[in-house]
Amino acid sequence: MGGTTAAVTRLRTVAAGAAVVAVAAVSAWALAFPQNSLSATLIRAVADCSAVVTLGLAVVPMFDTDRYRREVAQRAAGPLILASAVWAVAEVVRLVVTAAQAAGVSAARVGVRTTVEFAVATTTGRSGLMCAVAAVVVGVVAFVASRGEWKPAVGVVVAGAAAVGVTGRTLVGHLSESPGGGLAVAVHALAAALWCGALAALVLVVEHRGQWARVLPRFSQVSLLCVVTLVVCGVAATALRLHSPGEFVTTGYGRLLSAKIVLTAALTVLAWRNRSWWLPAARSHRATADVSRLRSRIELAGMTVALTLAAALAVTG
Amino acid sequence: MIRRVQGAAFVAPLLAVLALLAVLALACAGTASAHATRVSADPAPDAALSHGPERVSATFNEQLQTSFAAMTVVGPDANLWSTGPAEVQGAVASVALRPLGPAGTYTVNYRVTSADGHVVSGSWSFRLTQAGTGTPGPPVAAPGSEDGGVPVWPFVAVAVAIVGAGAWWAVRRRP
Repeated sequence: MGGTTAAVTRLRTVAAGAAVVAVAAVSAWALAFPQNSLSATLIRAVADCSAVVTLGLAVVPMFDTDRYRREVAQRAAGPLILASAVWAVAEVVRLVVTAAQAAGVSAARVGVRTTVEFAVATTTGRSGLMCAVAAVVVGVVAFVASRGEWKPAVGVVVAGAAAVGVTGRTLVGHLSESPGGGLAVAVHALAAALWCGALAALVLVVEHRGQWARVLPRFSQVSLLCVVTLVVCGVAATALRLHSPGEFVTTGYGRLLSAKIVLTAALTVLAWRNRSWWLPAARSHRATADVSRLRSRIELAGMTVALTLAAALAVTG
Repeated sequence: MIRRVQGAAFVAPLLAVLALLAVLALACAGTASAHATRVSADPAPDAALSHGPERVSATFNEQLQTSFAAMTVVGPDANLWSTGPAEVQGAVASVALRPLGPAGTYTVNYRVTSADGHVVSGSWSFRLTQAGTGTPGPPVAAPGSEDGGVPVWPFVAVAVAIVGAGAWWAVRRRP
């Protein structure tokens, strides 16, 4: 199977992703200066990206045909456990840092009592706690399931828990005061997570040409739905949040939003071109695995930047 | 080669737009934020009073979290003139005052958490024109000293170690 080579490639992909997150976080900090804190963006970006990858790895067996689903799930199990572990750690760190921020002390000095009170008594704390619990549940279920026969029901449970973790925090975010806005952002986040996470999972799990030929058509159908949903909900949330077009350039929040809109447009164009060339080529086995990997990586890099911008948006005040 | 050129064609305009936005960011830095802001204060900023009020309060444009609010009033003698914990009702945060002492500038410092979980802090000041007879509270302590007790970071470190080791073990143990 070439396990070591695959592991090295995966490691390289993850390292490249981390570098993209770091660069994007610094750009976002510069864009929203002085309303953005770099450390908050980084923690949130790590939590968000690992949550998205976890969701993607949970659903990725569904993209293959019935016969190969078990095999894909087996290959995804290791990365799934690791991604959910990173996610859980990032959520706990995020909870402590936000508690310290609310209490006005540094993260190194914040006490146990303050942190517990913050986690239990405030909506932000409770949502953070819920995300951490979701991450742990995903990890434990994924581990238990990986020791036995994979069943579609397991995939549904894991994907459901990951989805709860992905949407939970958005409900207490910027638009929590308006129920419609909160719902729009939650659906927007879920659609984006499914689109980006599924592609990330494909990059981590799919190895050869025949697999790309099987998974791409289904991924392409799902991603079209996701893009339409995320654009519609994103536009609705933007309309609810910003009061005048001038805010797109005059506020740090608006500038991040503008960058995200431009990036989403670029990603959609790229996805459309992939759909019209790569998809037919991959389906008829004309595209080599290298071509497929390169195409998906370019798109994934853009998505990582978009996710980091979203994380910066969520912590910009 | 063609694919690489396509990638570059996609990245170049993106970088241009990001650069443009960064320039705009520097040009109009320091504008309004997207979060809760203080819309009014009682007493008003820079007000001149002959008697100290019983409470000072600040009204925000969004609902506040009832916990994790802090508000203090520091007098011209650098002593604390507020007493008791800060109270939050809806979008209003307030704190009780002692009878005020020396004439001069009193500064109200606040730190509250808005409903969406973001911390909003700031200050304003008012002036007392006639000295009162009140006795001051304790001198202002160094910030952050009130959070005594066991720090949480060792627990986080242990939790991270357990999750890390658990995940490592789980991945290695997989059939």
